Amino acid sequence: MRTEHDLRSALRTLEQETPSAGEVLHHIAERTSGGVAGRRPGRRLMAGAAAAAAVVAIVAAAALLSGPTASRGHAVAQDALQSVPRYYMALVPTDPRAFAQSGLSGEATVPASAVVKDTLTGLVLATVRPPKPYITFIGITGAADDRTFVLTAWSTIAPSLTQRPKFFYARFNPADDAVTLTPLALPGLPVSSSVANAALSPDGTKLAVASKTSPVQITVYSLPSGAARTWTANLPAILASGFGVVDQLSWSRTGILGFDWGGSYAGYVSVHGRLKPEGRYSPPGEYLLNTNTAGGSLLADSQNALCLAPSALVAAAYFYLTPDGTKIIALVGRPIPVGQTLPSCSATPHPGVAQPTPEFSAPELEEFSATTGQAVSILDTSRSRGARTDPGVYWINPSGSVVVVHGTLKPGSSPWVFGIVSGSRFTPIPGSSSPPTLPQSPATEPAPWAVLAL
Amino acid sequence: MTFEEFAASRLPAVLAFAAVLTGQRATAEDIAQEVLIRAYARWDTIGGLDRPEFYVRKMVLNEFLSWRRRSWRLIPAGDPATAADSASDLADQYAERAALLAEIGKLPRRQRAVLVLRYYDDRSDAEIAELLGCRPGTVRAYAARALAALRVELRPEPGNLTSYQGSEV
Repeated sequence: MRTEHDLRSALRTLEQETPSAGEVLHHIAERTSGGVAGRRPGRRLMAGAAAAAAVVAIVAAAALLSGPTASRGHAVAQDALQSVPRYYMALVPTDPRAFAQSGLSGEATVPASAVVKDTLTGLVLATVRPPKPYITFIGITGAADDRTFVLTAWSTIAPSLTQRPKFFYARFNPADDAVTLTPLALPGLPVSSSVANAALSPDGTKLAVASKTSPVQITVYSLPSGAARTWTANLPAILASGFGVVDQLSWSRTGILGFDWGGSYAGYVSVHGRLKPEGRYSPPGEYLLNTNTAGGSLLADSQNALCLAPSALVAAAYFYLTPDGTKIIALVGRPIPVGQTLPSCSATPHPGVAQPTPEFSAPELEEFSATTGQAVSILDTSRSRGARTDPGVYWINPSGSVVVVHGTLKPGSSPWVFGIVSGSRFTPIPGSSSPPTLPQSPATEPAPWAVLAL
Repeated sequence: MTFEEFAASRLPAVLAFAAVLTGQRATAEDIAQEVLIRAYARWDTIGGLDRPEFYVRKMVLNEFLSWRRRSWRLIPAGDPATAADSASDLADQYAERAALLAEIGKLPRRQRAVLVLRYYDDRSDAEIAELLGCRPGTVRAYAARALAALRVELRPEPGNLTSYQGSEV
């Protein structure tokens, strides 16, 4: 038996059939100009002055949609903008003045609200403040469409050791620019300081939540029913606080959940006051968890798709599974030649020794095969992407050829913008720097989610 | 609202509505062209309405319901042939979605329109009745028939909790 949610999801997929607004207006301009080229048999045409006026107005409207100039560069930019979701959600300071006075950018010192923005025009279409008793939104994750999101709210401004986060299902309706918030009743959530990451599945029916403190685990909630399935890593609390943690969740459309793993043995036992490792060693890197199972052991049920040797001169710590499940996009400090794999992970570190923190002096986005681990292509270079970026990737198209990142165009004081990386080109998303967007999540597919002040 | 303002801010949503309604890009574009040419000619009146987009959507809807220029039938993205091919490659849920889309494509147009307005456009039955020019009871009858044909079970949406509006535009 099907549900109404199935019906909604199916209808939303038909949006992929949406014609380009610019093309529609240009065709209308051709037809109303009375020329033969644009006419099709049977069409009703306006004539005379009315048609001429229509051409002027419609061409003007098309220009509004496609920008102030008709240059090829601008057309390419428009193509890039139309290759990403029409609407996105981002976090902004609830009080911009307090944010400006704080002198900080992107830190959890001011309450945040969520805005829905139009990718093409840069307009803010809706603003959502956290319902009381919650005072700030801290993260966003989105489905594959451009209007279904899950927001994370906190009742404290800083991560709490006692308070649990609250997740809200947010549905944007472009017909009236309204956002409907529905609080989600999710059992067994960890306290907010323990939540590492959350990600909504592309079809909007499942929410994965990663807990980084004991018990280290990933729970997948079925949103219609609230049913939970959990995969747990058997780590003692002392190690779970900063070593062997899960992070950076990303979904494929087939229910495979990618997660970043810090590296650990399967378990540890205490022998005469000392920790002794047990079982197989799982090196740091990107793991793929098949969430179509009933739950169980996080490491035993996952496959290590990309590993990262602690000694490797590669600053990769952020991994993103493409929605088609075929590739993993990694932020690396030094690109790996196409056809080669990341350095071997055979070296086993002494258990309990924290790994060195990677440096992001010149991060690059590179794609690796999810099945062989081989480098497939370098998605961009930091030079094409702008002067400075945060390490997040906020949206990926199904095959991984187009991504949305966040950064500055020039060194120094230039504002943070979201931009589209496609090939070697970086296209800023208009209006994405105003109001100042906190560098966490525009959150669409696959919408990684970040906790502030980690 | 001028036509230019409408085109810049609301047209993409109207086009998406046409796409979901028809399930075909080419048909959506044809319908949109017909509607926009007529709408522009009367924009002095439409632009002065409280809800110009609502009116244009109504025009799109009427055009869709009366569209018989060609002998096309509604074949959305989930044609059964496509569903069969993709089932071996994709998860079951996507094959199921394709099958559902194919069945939606076979519904009578008014039933399909009611489903799109209710489940894609999030319209109330009263609004759908206003758009279709019928009574809310008729809307519910169309919806019931369509849902029965598609074997859709009515149950609460995700969260199963009180919803409230968060828009502060």
